[in-house]
Amino acid sequence: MNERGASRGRWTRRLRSSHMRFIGLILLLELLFGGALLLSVTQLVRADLDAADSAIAIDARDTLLGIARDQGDASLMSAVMARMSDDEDSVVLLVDRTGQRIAGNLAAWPPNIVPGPRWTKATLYRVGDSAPAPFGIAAARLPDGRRLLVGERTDQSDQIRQTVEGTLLTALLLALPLAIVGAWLAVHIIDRRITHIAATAAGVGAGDIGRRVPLDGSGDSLDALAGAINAMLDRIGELLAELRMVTDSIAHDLRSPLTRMRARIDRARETDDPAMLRAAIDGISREADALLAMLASALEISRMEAGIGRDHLVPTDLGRMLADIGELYEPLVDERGRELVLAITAPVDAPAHRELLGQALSNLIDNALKYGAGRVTLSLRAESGMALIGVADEGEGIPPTREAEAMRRFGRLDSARGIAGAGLGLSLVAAVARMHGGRVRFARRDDGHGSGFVVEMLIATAG
Amino acid sequence: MGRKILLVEDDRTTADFILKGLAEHGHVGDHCANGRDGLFMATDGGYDAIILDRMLPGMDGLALLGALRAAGIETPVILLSALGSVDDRVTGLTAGSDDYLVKPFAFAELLARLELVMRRRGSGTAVETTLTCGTLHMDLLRREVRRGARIIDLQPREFRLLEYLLRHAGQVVTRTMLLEGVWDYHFDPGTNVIDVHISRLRRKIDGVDEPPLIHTVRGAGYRLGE
Repeated sequence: MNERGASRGRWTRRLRSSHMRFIGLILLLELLFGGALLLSVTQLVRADLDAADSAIAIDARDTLLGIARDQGDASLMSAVMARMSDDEDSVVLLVDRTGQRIAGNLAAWPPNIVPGPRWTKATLYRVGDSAPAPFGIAAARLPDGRRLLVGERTDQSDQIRQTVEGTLLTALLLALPLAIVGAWLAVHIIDRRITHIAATAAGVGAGDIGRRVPLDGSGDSLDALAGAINAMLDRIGELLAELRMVTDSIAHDLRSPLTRMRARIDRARETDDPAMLRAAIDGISREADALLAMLASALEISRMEAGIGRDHLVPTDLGRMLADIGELYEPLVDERGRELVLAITAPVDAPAHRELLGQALSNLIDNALKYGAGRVTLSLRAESGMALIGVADEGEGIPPTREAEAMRRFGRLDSARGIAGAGLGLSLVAAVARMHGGRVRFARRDDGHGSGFVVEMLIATAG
Repeated sequence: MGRKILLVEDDRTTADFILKGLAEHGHVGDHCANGRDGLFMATDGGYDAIILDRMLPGMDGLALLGALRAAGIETPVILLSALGSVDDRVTGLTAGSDDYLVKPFAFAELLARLELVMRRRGSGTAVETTLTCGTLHMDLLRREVRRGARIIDLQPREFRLLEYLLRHAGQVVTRTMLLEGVWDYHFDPGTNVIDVHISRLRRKIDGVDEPPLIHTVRGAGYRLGE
């Protein structure tokens, strides 16, 4: 019972598969086409043969009617007799007004035949025959009330028709297995290509990231699908490589604060002095905060690069925002013995993610305070559809040869390794700029006194 | 005055940490470890506040919150989450929570925010025109601050900072709460910019011979009080 149920389930599953549906569809179309062909050919043949048969019967009748009209009764009688004896394939009958046979090779007038212009098909039993035979018959009423029936055997026509129908049917039946084979081949061709794609996907799923779907260069939809899948796999590969780099860097950059924490914990274990313990706990807590901040930035960057958050861009008065951030940082800058100035040439509105842009600006100001020198300038201007936010100081900046290195995620320059920082600052800024449709670039004053960063953001044109 | 607080949190260590902290501050904490029980208890428990983990077995924290708000229960809710991105925060707040705290957090931060949301619900929206703490008076209409007889001249932002502290007088306010409440930013400024603002304000408020009103709370933030 169970086994039967299982096998039935397997069959319904197999029937539901697209292969079977495809083959079934091709078969059905084949049958419909063959059926239509069979029907139309037999109809045509039948019509053609019938036309010939009716012409013969009507012709024979009209000949006899002509003889009766032009040459009189005796001639008609002899013509009927001649027909009876000459042509063994014909039937002829002449009856009087009451239906009594006058001459002919039929015993009586067949009840289903009515005199008229049209011809009829009938199976008749001729006098002296051993079996009934099919005839094409034309009948007519003579002017004196007698009725005349003339016909010719249609065996041959029926034979031809049967042969044609039989041949067509055989051809159709022969075509059926061919159709099945054809359908199976068509399915198989598509199937083989899809199997390639599926195998590649499965291989990639199992961890073989380097696998790609082979292309045949035909440019058809399956080739396009394979191309799209390959492009997707390339992108996944890139992301994975980037992820690997990030994880490696995280592991590397996490190790040193964690090691420092570990050392502090070990030292704290050995002391009983409450003040030392307190100091140790504070130190550990600071390290933990730094680690958390670093993780948060790394996650935020990844999310931005995955395109999450773009829908939170809202029109923002950048000048006002810059003034706010400047105001937030002003006391800190002041405390460090530095100066912060705003250089906003004109109001600029652009779609912005307030939090993330704020974080980016905060990172840049922080950077300028940590690594730069002199006055920190926050500037804002608009240039060819882009809003340009600048954060510059009067220090030397990053050497031109090392700019790319500095921009890389976690790529903290060796000379800065001594100063506390996660090394994520600039890459977060870069990610924020990309999210706003722009980029971040280095800016350097021509006289060599002063350098900084410019964050470019797209000012979306309304409408 | 102890408050009745429901904690819905599946992580045993975090739950113990919070329950212990609540008990130390005189609050009664009820705990349940999955979303379905949490919804059940929150619906008929009569709690003053709910601390809700975002990812729970049985029923997701946001779903629980949605069900609670749909049932017309307006108990203040603080969402706890390991999802710390800006957008996660927005999602949490728009789902109907009163505050959103990212794991891991200091207990002081949670307690400060808890007291804030409970007070917010409790006090209603009575319009105050003057705020007072000890000898410090703030006139919100005339935008004037005086300590005793001494008039204190404040920048607009310093005024807002002090106003925030005064509105939460006696409570611990953390640096992130200040950044959110006064500057309306949630990002992490890294270097502690807030500390510098507070020390500037402190220099203006607390004179040399006056008892200090702005206190630093170790590991947490600040508290305004006598």
